[in-house]
Amino acid sequence: MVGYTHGNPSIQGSMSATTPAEYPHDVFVSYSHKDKAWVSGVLVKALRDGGLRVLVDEDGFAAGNSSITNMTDGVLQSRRTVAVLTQNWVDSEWSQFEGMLSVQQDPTGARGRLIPILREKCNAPPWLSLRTYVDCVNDATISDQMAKLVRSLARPLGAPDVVRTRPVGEGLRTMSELISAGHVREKLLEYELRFNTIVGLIHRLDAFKSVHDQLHHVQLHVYEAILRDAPRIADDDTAVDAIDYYSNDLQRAIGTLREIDARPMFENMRMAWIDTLAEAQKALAVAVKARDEKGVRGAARLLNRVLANEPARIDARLGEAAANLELEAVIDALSFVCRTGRELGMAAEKVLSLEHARDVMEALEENLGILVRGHRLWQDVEVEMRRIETNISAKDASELEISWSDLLKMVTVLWASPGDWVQPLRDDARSVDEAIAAGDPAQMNRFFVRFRKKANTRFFTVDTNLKEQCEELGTIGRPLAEVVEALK
Amino acid sequence: MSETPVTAETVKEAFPSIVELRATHTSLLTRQRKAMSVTDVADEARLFIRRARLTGVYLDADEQRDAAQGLIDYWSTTLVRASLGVNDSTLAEFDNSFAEKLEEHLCPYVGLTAFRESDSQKFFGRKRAVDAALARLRESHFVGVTGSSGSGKSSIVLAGIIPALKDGAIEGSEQWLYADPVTPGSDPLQSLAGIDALLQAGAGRTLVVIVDQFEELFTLCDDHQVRSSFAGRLVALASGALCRVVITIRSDYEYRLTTIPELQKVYSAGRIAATALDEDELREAIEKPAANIKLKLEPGLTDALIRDVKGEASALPLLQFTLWRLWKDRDRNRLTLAAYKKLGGGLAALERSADEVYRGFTPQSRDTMRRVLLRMVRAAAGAELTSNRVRVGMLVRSIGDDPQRIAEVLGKLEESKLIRRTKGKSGDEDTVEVSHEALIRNWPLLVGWLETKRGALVELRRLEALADEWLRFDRRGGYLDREQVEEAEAWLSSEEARDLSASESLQALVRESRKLVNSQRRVKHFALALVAVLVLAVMYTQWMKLRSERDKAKAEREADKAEIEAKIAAARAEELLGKVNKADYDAMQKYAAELKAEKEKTLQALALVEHRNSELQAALEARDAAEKELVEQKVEATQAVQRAMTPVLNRVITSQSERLLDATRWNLRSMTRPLRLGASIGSAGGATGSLCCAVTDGRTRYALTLPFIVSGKSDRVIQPGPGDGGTARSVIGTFARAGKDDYRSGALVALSPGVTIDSSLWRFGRLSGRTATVRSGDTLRMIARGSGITTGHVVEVRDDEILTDFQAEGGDSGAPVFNENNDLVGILWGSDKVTAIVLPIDPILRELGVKLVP
Repeated sequence: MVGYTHGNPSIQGSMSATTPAEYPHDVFVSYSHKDKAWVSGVLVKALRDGGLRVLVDEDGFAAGNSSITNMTDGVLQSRRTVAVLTQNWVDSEWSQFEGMLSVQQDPTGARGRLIPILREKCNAPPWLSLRTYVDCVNDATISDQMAKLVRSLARPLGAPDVVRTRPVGEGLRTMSELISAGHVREKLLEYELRFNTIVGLIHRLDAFKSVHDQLHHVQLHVYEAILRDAPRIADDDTAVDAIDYYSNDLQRAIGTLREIDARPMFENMRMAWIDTLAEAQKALAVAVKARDEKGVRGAARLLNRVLANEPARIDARLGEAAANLELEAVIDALSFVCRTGRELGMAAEKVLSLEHARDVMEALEENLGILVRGHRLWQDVEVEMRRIETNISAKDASELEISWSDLLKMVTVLWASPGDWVQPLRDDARSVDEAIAAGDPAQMNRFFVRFRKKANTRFFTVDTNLKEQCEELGTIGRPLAEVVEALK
Repeated sequence: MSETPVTAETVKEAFPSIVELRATHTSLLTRQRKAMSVTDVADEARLFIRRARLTGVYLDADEQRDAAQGLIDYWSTTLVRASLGVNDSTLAEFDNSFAEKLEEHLCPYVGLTAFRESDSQKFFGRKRAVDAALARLRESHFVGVTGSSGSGKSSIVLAGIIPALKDGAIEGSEQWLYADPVTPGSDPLQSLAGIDALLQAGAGRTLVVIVDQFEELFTLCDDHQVRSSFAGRLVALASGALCRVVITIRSDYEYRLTTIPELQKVYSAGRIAATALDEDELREAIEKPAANIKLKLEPGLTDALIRDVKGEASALPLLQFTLWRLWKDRDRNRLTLAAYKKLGGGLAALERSADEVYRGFTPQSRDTMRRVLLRMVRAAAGAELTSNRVRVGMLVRSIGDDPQRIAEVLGKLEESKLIRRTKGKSGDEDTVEVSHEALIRNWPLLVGWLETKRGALVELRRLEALADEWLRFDRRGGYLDREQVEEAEAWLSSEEARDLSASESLQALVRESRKLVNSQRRVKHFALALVAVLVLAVMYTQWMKLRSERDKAKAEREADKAEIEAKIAAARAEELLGKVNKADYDAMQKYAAELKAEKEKTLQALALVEHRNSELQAALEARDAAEKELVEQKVEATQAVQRAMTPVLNRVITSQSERLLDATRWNLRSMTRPLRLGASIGSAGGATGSLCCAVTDGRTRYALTLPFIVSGKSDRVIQPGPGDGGTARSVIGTFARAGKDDYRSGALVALSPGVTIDSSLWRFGRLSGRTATVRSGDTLRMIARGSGITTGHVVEVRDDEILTDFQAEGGDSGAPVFNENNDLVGILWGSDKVTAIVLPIDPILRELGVKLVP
């Protein structure tokens, strides 16, 4: 499986290699001794069979070390850590793990390198929600899950920004070619319904994402720009021209939104708020002509009504669609045709392209999960920040004080994954901390504003990545539809 | 996004303000965090959203609206993201018709008047000044708060310092005694009358004495003696362990304190300036009182007010008045920009409101209002116009209009806060005054009336001062002489005097003086009769002495003779008295009886002496002398009696000093070129006094006068002075220099090219160019801007001043005083009603290094 990383340059190329390569172990297993039987008998065995160098305390640890040191050593010496989540683990091990992370804010970056294996339903700590669980509750699917786990543990560290999907298209076309083989067709017919659903959801995702993009655009390039220029409208011609331009921009966005709204999938959920945007645009045009600052602000307020609520709604639908997107079906189908192709003596090149397509699909599924969850989390952060921002001033920062620890927890989860943006944001967070400790509202206000700006920039990047990933996903819609077509 | 309408019914659910809204949000947030799930608080969140959006009707500030909308959005988004439904989440539009109405009596602003102690809850923005004063009071026992008119000094003391002290700002100060604040008024010593009793009653507790408007000591009290005693009393109190003294004084009168050195010393150590409020303080002064009663100011209103007031040191009464007017015009619980615009913005509120009141009257009432207000203004020393407190009864009588109408006018003025009423024992005893001098300076209509009346007001002040004097002498002295009576009568019957409505006491003085003048000749006779009686008394004494000695027979003979003479004299006196009319006769009988009693006393004293041998011998010798120089003795006795009786006789009959010509008839108060000796001069914004004469140091020609006359804001000296309407066009020169003591020395005015001084002394010729010294009894003359051309006498010669019996008036300071040879002897410095002080000329010329121009 190690060969996977070397043999698929197209995947590797899309990943950012950010980690030092030299870890003595590929994976450290953290578990509760009460779950030892399953861990040794199933998990460790599967991992070792998959060719991974596994560190697990029953045989790798020096005797006499305290368990915290053991865990720290284990995490430090391994590229990834898997935690076997059971109530036992949460009760006995979790506090130690948390304790280790709390030392200097996770110096080992352990949080980002942890993969939780859900063995039993339990009260998992919140930040783990960002990670992709490997679901091992159901023994019936364990072998598939293990194979997937092995493949993802073999991948180098660092999530790709966007997984490129071109190989999937090729794989799917190969799949179409194989459909003529009788039992292949028979087997694939089992997937037909789910493929259809996926195609529909991909369209839907695309539409939601477009709507989201339009709103994002309106927020950044119309709403905020208007507020910035409005005070000058009475006596500065350039402000008039600028706001006039924003007004046109808004009109374009409204046009695009109306086009999306007209798509059949929106039949039962027309976006009535587009009318509010249109109303705002009309008011804006009138106010610009009259150079009426109050009018401009009124229009902005109308825009804000939409921007305050709709992105969250769209986002909720987007997440819902992504969650319902059972890409698993495609992966399974690809695995199946891959095996069958090999059995049927298909050309190695074609088999390889199927394997490649499956791997990319897995990476895509994982990345999409990360992006959607990340985006959702960022959206949560944005909602919090927006509330604080509207209720904070240089004289009264109480809203920040009551919310900051929660906000910080949410953001801490986000900056668990490494990146250049993390450190500056942390610096500002520390400044906010200090200002709160000093009880200085002016400084709280100042640093919060800085913090918010940086966080927004990052959110925008996440947003862009998700959008791009959705676009990539969109490219498999057509070949997948072709597969469905071929099945008929 | 459908909007549910807000109705009187639904609005009940709204939060009373953003504060409660946020508090509910915070507690909701805490519960959500605890529950770890929105679902658990979903119903509460929906309720919050509903209530919060209704609250929009109360929120008019963008910041608050954004905050409220932000919180609503947060909860609606949170619900949406948890896939929980939510209804309307748009903040309702601001609509003040739902706001609670604030009752009139809650008014948080005081209007024009200074803050009283009871207003301390409305008093904000003065922490700096109050803290500074308290710090001083911890260290020392005297604090003087100074500032221009309208700078808020009284408020700092009454509503700031005193309540803070009563609240225990200084250790133990809550236990102190607090005397009611006093103002010096025209009888300053009386105002401190109760202090001793309080000190005693306090039994060791610290007593706080507050003297507000200390400048009245200079504007309303003309007696230097009284001033010093008053100041001395305060200094004594402040240096005692058991007293704290706090005074307020207008900064333009601060310099007058230099005339009372012992007070000046304590004052400069405890001086605190009421400086203009800075922006933050103004904001506090405007917003805090409102916040206390949940009164709101439309966004931008505070900023507009601050913009208009900032940097104006004297604008506080105007600001308070504007705020009070805005309160009157409030929209339920809100002061609005629209109301502010309607008031004319800026500080025009006072003008607009006062005009409005005026226009609201019938023409008749308008006239009454004008006269009522004119009555509440008087000229202070130096012709400055200040507020005048008058009793309602007196006002009604002196104006002479329908009392009903006057009452109505007063009521309306009071209701509009333009005047202030202080309750007296009865309605007639109530006093009224303009709420603040700001009205006198800032209401164009009144300013206009006053401009045309300034001269008349000054004249009225002069006459009323005479009337006050007369009352102070219990109507026994201080009558007007013939010329004064004629002048006063002419003036009182003039149009302008009727407008100003002379006080009852002045009218009475003129009436009584007229009677007296009519009987003047007879009075003179009567005086002679009195003299005769006194002479007889002296002679009788002599005879008594003789009788007790040898030569009884001779003595008896002489006694018979004396008795006969006495009878003759008495008969003659009675005959003379018979000619005096009945009223005068009664008054004089009473007076004669007093004199007689006096005589009895003298006789008794002498009777005691009778028994002493040494005295006997002297008496015998005196008898010889008496016999020998009977005529001479008679004259001497007459003179002695005259001297002894001078002060009394002066007032009963006529002044020793005599007015020869009114100032206006010698054009001393108008512009004259060449300049006349004694002409009105001064500097812009300063006092008005008299020009003394021309002097020179060999290079430059100067006009000589006194320093405080030319100590105004400008160095440019004008003739006539500002009190007589002098303007920049009347410049005669520039202030050059003055002697070391800036109060009791000379001042030189370098004359502009072309300006010359005519040294004419009216019918007496011209100034001789020489100086001279004087002796007691010398006859002097003076030409002065106030009293005109008068003649008087030297009463006493002191080291550095000459006391004279000139009856000086306002504006006389600086006038030349010369003897019968037309030699200059001094410069008139100042006066009380009995004595005028003249500074000898030689030391002044010596110090300045100048000589008289020959």
